Amino acid sequence: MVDSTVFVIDDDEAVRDALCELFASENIPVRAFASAEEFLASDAVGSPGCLILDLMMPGMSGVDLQAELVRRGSTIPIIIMTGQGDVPKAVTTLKAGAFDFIEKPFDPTALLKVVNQALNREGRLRRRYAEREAVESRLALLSPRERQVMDLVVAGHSNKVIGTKLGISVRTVENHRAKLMDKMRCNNVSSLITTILQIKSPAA
Amino acid sequence: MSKRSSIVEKILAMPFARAVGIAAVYLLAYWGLDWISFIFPAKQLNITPWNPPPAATVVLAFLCGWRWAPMFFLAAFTSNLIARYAPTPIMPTVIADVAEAVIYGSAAVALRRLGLRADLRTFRDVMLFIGVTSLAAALMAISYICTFWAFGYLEPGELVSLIFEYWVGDMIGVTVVAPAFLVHRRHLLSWEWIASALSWEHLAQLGAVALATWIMFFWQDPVVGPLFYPLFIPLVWVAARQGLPGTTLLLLLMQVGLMGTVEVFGISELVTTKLQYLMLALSWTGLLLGAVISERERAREATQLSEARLKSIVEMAPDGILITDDRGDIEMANRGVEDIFGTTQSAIVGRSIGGVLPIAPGDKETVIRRPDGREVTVEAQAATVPIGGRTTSVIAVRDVTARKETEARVRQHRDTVEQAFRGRLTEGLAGALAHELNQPLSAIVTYTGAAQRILATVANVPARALEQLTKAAAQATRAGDIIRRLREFFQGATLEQAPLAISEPIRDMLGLLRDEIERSGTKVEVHVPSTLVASADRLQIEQVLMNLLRNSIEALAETPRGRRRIVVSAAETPEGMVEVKIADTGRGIDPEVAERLFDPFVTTSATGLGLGLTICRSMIEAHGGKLWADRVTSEGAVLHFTLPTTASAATERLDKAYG
Repeated sequence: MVDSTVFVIDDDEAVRDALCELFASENIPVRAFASAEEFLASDAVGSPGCLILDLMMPGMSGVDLQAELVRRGSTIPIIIMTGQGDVPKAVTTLKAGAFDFIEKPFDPTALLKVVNQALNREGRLRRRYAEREAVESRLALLSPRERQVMDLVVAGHSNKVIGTKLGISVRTVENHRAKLMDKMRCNNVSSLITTILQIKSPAA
Repeated sequence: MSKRSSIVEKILAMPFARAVGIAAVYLLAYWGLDWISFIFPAKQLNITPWNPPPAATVVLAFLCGWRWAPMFFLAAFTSNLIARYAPTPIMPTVIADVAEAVIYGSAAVALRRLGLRADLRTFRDVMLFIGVTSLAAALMAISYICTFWAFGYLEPGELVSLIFEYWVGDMIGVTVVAPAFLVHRRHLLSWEWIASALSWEHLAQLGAVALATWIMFFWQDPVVGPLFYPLFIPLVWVAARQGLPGTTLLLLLMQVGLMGTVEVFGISELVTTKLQYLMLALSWTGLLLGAVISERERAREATQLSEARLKSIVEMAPDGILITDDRGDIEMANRGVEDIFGTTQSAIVGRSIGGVLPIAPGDKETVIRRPDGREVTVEAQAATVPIGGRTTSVIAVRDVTARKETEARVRQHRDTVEQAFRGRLTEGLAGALAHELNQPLSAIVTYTGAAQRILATVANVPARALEQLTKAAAQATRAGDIIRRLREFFQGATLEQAPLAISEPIRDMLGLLRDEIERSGTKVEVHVPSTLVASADRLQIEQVLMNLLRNSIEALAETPRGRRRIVVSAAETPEGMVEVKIADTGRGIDPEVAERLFDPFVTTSATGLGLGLTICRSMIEAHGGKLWADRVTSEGAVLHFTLPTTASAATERLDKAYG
């Protein structure tokens, strides 16, 4: 959670500054941008964290930025700030996948709560994603024979049955099994099963 | 054919049959006239009481010109042999015949040059004819008599009286024959001409002539004197009734009649000659009188014709036209008046203008109540014309009821659109104010929150300080609530989307702005298919169009008049939206302003609030459309907005209901 940053995008300088102060007071890393274009042009895109986005801005609007981020495959949570009377538009952004919206002027405590939720979720997602990536990179190390043996082990077959099914000796099965357990960094069959299940479960 | 070509060439150049025909008629006429008039030849020469053959020469020369000159001589020369029973000596006769051809030919050509009309239309024509022919006859008389005197046929003592006698003979011949032929030449002896000659009046006139002739010759012994005067009575009668055409015929008839009587009853030569003097006076009197009468008659006919034309123009005029006398009573009313006043012309004529058209002095318009109860607004214009010492007023009345109604309708429509927009303006102002104030309020609340958090980590902060920060935050939040309530109070009318042919509001708004457009000399082009239907709130779209068009007109103020142009076009987009585009050739959009064009309080106008485009955008977005400006060019501004079509609006509603 340490690297997660709150990205504030608002055309009003006072609002930007106040938000920076607020998050700083909570020791949450924060970066502010005066426009959607400035944000898109920066290295912040793709960084971990969440977005606090003003809906009404000159140039590219909040709605447009959201659409652009979706197009780029970003999953960063977006918290929409709206003026009064823009509620219908804010609802549209929620439909398009925004995390939440708050109406200006907002209660700072409520905002902090929403931001923490967003950062938590983002962190969770990020961790799970990282784990899955690690497992997949280990799977990539297995030889085809080792992969076959692993699939049968996970399916709950004994070494003897595996040997018969693959037409190899029990001894050879044992050798493969030792190597794959090593490559997958698992000590026993149950931890192997847990690891494999992780990549098969849905993302959320 | 050049002017120098010879006379022979000219004759040869004429269509042969026509030339032969003219020659034959001319020769026969010449010989015939010579034959019937060759009576009492003085000194056995061609000095007779009347000598009409030169009339044939004058007519031919006048109508056909000099090229016939050889013919004139030929006719005169041959006539000596054919018509006269005692041929005169050859040499002087040839000389006299040449003189006749030259003198009468010249006279006729001179008449042509002087602009004589062949049908002797005017008094001037008749005077000219008499003057020129008198002169020619005098020259002829002198030439003839002197020639024969030079050859020794005449004594010096008798020359003067012979010259006078010759002059009278030629003069009377030309005067009674040539005008009759010239005036009647086009329809001489045609059936219509003969038929029109047969009438009781003509018979009575002929009877009067016969009676007058009888009185002159047979009342007493043939004495030419006071008894000649009765002949003036039928002459004046004919001249007054039939004008010059009748008079010329009558004179010819009288002359032939007189000469016939002279021959048949053996009237003496002396009497006959004296008779011819009187006859000449009679002829001139008749011709001049006839010409005056004909001229008057023609002038009267022309006046009648132009009066009838004017009357029909007045009658057919779409406006009502009233003519009043100097007391203000209506003398004439045209058919237009009937349509406007809903009554008949005869019901209006004779009434006082004030009763028919009550109009305050200095006013141009008034309302009149028709007999059928309808009220019509009319516009009147009066002109006062002094005619013959009287003051006549001509009043043109136009029904402007329909125009007034249209004007009122246009004004009302415009008021509706503008009033609705003023409502929007308040709403927009409240919204914009809310947005602008919410920013600093947000900042205040957030700053306060941050300060509280920082202070919470510090020891020994007075509790009251923290408490006051909490109060400050609460006040800022309260301000936000006030703004929210204000905004809700001004929340505008609900959107009523219905199928709308987009060409209709465009046409209507251009109509409402016609004054501005015309005053600024702006050319407007519209390319909007009438089949394009959007789902929209008509009043709101009218407000948007009115705003955008007004902006365009304002932006054109700095463009030279000839280049002021607005193009409104519309088309369906691939996404199934109706897109309307308004382009102008105005000053364009300042790049600095372009960024914030749709933000509230951004304006280039000195008087505007800068909310127009903001509100337009919110109205269009409420429809589910978009409003935007093209990236700036120096060629003027282009604004676009889209609206859902009926089909796309339906999908969206379904989405809202089930999505």
